[in-house]
Amino acid sequence: MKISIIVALILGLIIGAGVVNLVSPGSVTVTTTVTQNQKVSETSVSTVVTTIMETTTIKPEYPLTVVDALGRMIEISKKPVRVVSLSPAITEELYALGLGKYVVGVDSFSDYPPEVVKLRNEGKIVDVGGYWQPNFEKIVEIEPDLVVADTGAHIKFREKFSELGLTVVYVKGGAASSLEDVLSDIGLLAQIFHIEEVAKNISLKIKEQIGSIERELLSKNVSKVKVLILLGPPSWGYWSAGSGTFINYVVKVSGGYNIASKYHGWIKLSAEDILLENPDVIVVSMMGSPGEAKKVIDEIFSSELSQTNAVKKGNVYVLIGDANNILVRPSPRIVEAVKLMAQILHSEVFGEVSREDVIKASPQLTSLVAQTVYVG
Amino acid sequence: MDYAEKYFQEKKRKFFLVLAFLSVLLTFTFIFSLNIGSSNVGLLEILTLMSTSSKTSSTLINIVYNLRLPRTLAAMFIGVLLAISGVLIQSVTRNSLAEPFLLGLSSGALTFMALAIIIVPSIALSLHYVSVISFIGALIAFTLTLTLSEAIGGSATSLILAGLAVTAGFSGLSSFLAFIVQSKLNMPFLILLLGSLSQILRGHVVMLALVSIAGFTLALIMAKRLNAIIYGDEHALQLGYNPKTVRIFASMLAALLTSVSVAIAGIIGFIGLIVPHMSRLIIGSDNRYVVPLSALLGALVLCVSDIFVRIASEGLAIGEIPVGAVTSVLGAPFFAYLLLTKVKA
Repeated sequence: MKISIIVALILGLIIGAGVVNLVSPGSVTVTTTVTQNQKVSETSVSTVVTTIMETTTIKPEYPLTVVDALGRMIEISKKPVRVVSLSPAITEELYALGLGKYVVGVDSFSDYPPEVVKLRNEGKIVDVGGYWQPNFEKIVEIEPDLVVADTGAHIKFREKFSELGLTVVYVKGGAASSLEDVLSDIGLLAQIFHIEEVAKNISLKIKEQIGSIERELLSKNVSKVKVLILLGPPSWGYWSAGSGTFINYVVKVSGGYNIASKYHGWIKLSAEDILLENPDVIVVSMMGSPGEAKKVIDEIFSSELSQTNAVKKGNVYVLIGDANNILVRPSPRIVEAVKLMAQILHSEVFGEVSREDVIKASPQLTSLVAQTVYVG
Repeated sequence: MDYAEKYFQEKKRKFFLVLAFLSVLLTFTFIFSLNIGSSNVGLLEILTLMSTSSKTSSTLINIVYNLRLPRTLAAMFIGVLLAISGVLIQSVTRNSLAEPFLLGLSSGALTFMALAIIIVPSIALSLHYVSVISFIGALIAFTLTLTLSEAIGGSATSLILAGLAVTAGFSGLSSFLAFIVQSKLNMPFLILLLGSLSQILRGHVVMLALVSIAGFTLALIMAKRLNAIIYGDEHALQLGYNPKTVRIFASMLAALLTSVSVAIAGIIGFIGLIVPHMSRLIIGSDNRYVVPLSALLGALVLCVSDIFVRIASEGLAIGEIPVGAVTSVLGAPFFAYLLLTKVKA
């Protein structure tokens, strides 16, 4: 019994020392006090300025408080100059606002504008890990003064972010499901950098362009086209995007009816479900090469989907590369996405799509299917 | 000096030697672990960090204090929890194949946690409530296993088979419920199915430390009683211990230690099997020695596993590998080996 008590004491001491060490990271507290002091001096300077020039209303630009997409009040102590984006959509928004020069870190999937890829390869922008699982250590290491996260994938990291003392603003980002969401993201980011005018111009332009597509559809009085959206090749299962997704919004605005819209979010459709709806157009959104895209088309033509109107009419499109990106990524390129979808659904109004990253079923294949159906 | 006395002294000497050796090893592992990460913060920077306070050191502090240190300490404390839980369960069941994961305690804990969070989502905010719920789950699972084992004969093999049945049921249920928690409530829950240390917060470490120190101390105080019940109830009664009380108390402690580790890091299996065996191999079956050795070895084994996880995840660039997967890969062959030697004989 004596031995055991001694051992317990020794081990308890070792473990206890570790804990005490952890609980009181003294230097951390020191740094926070320093920043607070700076803040105080900044405000006092600005009060001096306002008292001197009483007639002109000078409002100090920073610190400012913004309300992020989670409804949290975030204080921005000074203009951010080292920004980390955790999703491709956010990266595109930052660059569209002309804030690219402040971006020091992006997630692994960010690839637009091409400049981002170039800078990342050169090591000027740091890759901070995957969209779903950012690498905290990398983020902390590059000392960002602003991290922009996504309410979709990153909501669960809230506590870790605050423990790390990072200034994190959540936007809808990849979870945005409409034009309004994308525009409010852009507005929030602009607010942080005091460039509301730029955001207003971007918003007006995007609204104008989408409005003109909608008016065009209205004036031609076209009927809604039934679409099946597939995310990835059908061999993965018929994964599709229901209501509340960005893709659903794009289809709706482009004069289509998304057959998955009766469901919410990302869902797996059954073959029966699809055949019952009998879509006129099938759009597959996937990553891969043109060769792989052709294989997917062959796959669809030989699957149970060959019974649908879409296959019989040859209206099967596979979107790869950038065409895939603009459709799944709620970004300022939303106009491009709507235009592309409008062309796919209503080529009689907007003309056939001619993009290298959109592969359409060849007419020969279609006639072949028509024959087999006839023979069968 | 008679033979028994001499033997006892020998053993005591060996024990302290091993203890000292393991402590040194653990210290080195600890320092090495602080060195591992994806940023370029190495040992040299950490050492200078402790002496100077330059401008860049706030980032260093952040990386070391808020990311690497909590993770390392969590790995060690969870190792202690699981190892001691293993020792307790093996003593209570008098079965060297018993282990919190194999007997269904871990899966039971996770199932109840998921269920509680689905019913009252706000409970997820309180680690204490979650731990209490998972403790109840672990206790229920353990009781189920013991009852089932009694019903099918009460042999060593029947305990393992009963554990298998209970684990299968609860792990299926917990996978299903975890999926609901993750998709409906947007909480990181699936990660708990295979255990991970990637989302450890500082607050978690404090709780882990308190529970492991308390658990370790209690297990050490109970060591003699545990020794007694291994040799049979009559033996225990002769020594003045009530075997039933000892068994109930040890079971509850084991369930508590397991459930706290599950609540924080998810299901990490086989530590409770490997570590007590290693300890017994070194020092024999006296629990007064086995408990402290297991605590140290548990901390060591899980910390090394996590170092492996971090190096592999970084090297393969595939994101975080669950540490539970690593311990299972290590533990399953060991379990098979034990089956061959213990059950066959």
